[in-house]
Amino acid sequence: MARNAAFEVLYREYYARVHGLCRRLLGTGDLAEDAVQETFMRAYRNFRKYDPSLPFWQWIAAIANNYCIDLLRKKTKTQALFGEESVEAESIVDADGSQPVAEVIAAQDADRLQAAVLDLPPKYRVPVVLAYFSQLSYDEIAEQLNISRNHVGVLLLRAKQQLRGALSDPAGEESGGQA
Amino acid sequence: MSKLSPLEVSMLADNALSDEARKIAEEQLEASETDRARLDALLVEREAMIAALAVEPLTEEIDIPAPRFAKTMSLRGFAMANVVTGLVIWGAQFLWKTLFGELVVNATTWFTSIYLPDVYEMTRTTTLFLFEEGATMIDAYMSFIVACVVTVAMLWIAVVYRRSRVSISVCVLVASLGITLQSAPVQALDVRNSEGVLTIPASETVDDTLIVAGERIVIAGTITGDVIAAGRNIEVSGTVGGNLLTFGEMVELSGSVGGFALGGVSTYEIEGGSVAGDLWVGAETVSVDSDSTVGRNVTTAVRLSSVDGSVGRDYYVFGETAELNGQVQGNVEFFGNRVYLLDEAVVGNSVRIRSGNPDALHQADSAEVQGEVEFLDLPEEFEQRSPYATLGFYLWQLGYLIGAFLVGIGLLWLVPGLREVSLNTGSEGLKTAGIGFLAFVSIPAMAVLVAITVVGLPIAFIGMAAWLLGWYLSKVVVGYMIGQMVIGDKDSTPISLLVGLGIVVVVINIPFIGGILSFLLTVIGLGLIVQYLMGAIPARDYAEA
Repeated sequence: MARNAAFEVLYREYYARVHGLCRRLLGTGDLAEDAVQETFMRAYRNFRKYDPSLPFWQWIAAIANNYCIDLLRKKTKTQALFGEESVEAESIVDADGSQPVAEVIAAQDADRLQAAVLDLPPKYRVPVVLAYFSQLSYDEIAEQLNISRNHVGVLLLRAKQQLRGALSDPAGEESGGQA
Repeated sequence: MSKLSPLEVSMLADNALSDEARKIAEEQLEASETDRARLDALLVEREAMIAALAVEPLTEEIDIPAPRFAKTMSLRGFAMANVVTGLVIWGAQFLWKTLFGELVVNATTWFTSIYLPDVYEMTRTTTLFLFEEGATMIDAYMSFIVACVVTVAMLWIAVVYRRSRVSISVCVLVASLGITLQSAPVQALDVRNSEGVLTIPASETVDDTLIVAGERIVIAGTITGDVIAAGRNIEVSGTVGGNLLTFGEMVELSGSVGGFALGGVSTYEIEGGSVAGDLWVGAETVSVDSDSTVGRNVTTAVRLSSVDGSVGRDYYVFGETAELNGQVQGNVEFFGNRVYLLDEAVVGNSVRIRSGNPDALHQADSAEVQGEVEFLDLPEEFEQRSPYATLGFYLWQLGYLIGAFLVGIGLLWLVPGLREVSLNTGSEGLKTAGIGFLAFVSIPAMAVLVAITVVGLPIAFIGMAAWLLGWYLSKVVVGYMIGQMVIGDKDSTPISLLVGLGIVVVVINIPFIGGILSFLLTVIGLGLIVQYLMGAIPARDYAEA
């Protein structure tokens, strides 16, 4: 019983962050709630595996990442959720050009940026969330997604390019911040 | 002028370049103002993204209803708990028999037998005791040790690979089988063999099931359990409390059998013997003399079947010739060419003759048939008909489909990794079929080789059981794989399985080539299972963190 009570404290403390992570990874609030519950249940069942010397957030975020990525893989009909590295790299050369960089994003409010991230396809959204929300290193992301480190870099670059495109599009401002 | 690629600048901003690459990139930055500007912009962008994506901490106390954290017992856990309970019960029974039955009781018997004797008497008693019981005791000790080693090994494997549900299931299964097979010889099995004459003398009583093999087997004693005998000549003049199963050239039964008697021999003779249950014999000739009785039915598939004794119920003959010169309380049903009802024949009910020959019946004047004598056509099963034109064929196939579907659902639920098996390329299919064929051939061969030794006999049994299981499950696995290829939806397991099994059932029943296709599907399925078990087809580990 004491363990249950202790875990409920952890649940209340980390609920918002786990929910935020799941929502960003899955791109929708509907699935995120279920993912949060599943994440905490898995954490509860495997609590004996938790190393107290590490931050609890790091551990539970890894569980949430695993679960959400598995969910995305199941929902994706094709085998390679994160695409082929070479194909992605080719499109960088075509799309990069001399697009605005900081000016576009820095000027946006956080809600529009969040909405734009949620609108990204999963293959770009997941690395972005892992890199800028969970703040994992490229190596950690590569291990998590079972792709190469360079592939992570390519996906992130493509993601940022898409974000810039979406944020610089005036039509997008109408729906921004509502997701 | 830009000297760095967009990817390099992006990774530099995210601090993701290796030390060496970073050093080179920084040198390039010195020479390119454009790149420096891009890097600065990306750094600002990075901070903006981190800030935008961060979750705002809760500023006020909100009551978040926490779920009830408790380990719920899933159906899978329930199934596992049942298996473990069964294992514990088996283990307890085994330990009880081994520790109490063999060690404690024997030791007590030994101790009481040498209580206050003189030295000569003590030595004699001890020697006799060890001579009579020593083998059993050593067998019990060895079984106990082997069972402990197997259990510890299984537990160790389960602990090391505890994250894999499959490994735990396999470990529990193997431990269960191992302990069951280990306990069986101690509990109720007496195995004897001899290259010459093997005799159970009239003075001997075997309290267990007896399995005997030899050139000539003579059972004059009393066997309380079943007897399974294989030999050239088998003579049973004693008493068998259970069933009598014989395989050889000639069987002579002059004793009594408490259960049924089943024989696959050349000549089967009952002379002054009795069988309380049914008598089933496939032989060249079968004879039951006038002093013999069979309590229930007599069913023979023979060239010549001759019954002079008494049959408690019906007498069925499939063969060339049947003779009856005794008493049958029920019906006589004959499938063949000639039936002779001789002088002493008494049939309590009807005689039915299913023969294409209208002169098949030869009945003596004094032979008595209290019911009717009927001549019937051969049953439809005896006629050459296409199986596809019978309802039974389709019902059978439907039953197979339903059974395989239910087994498949259970299998894929217990071993979810099998859902991932696939043949992505033609060469992979050939390789899988090759592995399957190797397993198909090598496992029975190894089982035969291992079975030569007494120690290897249980291993051979386990190997053959696994082989037969794999043979059945192979079509289920390959059916699911085919279903997935057709449906293309990994989430709809039952539909994929049903569609795939339906295709398999149709394919293996295609006239002329169905058998070959069935064999091919089986070896591919076996190959997939073997590869999965060997880890060649990886399953994603669903364990967390």
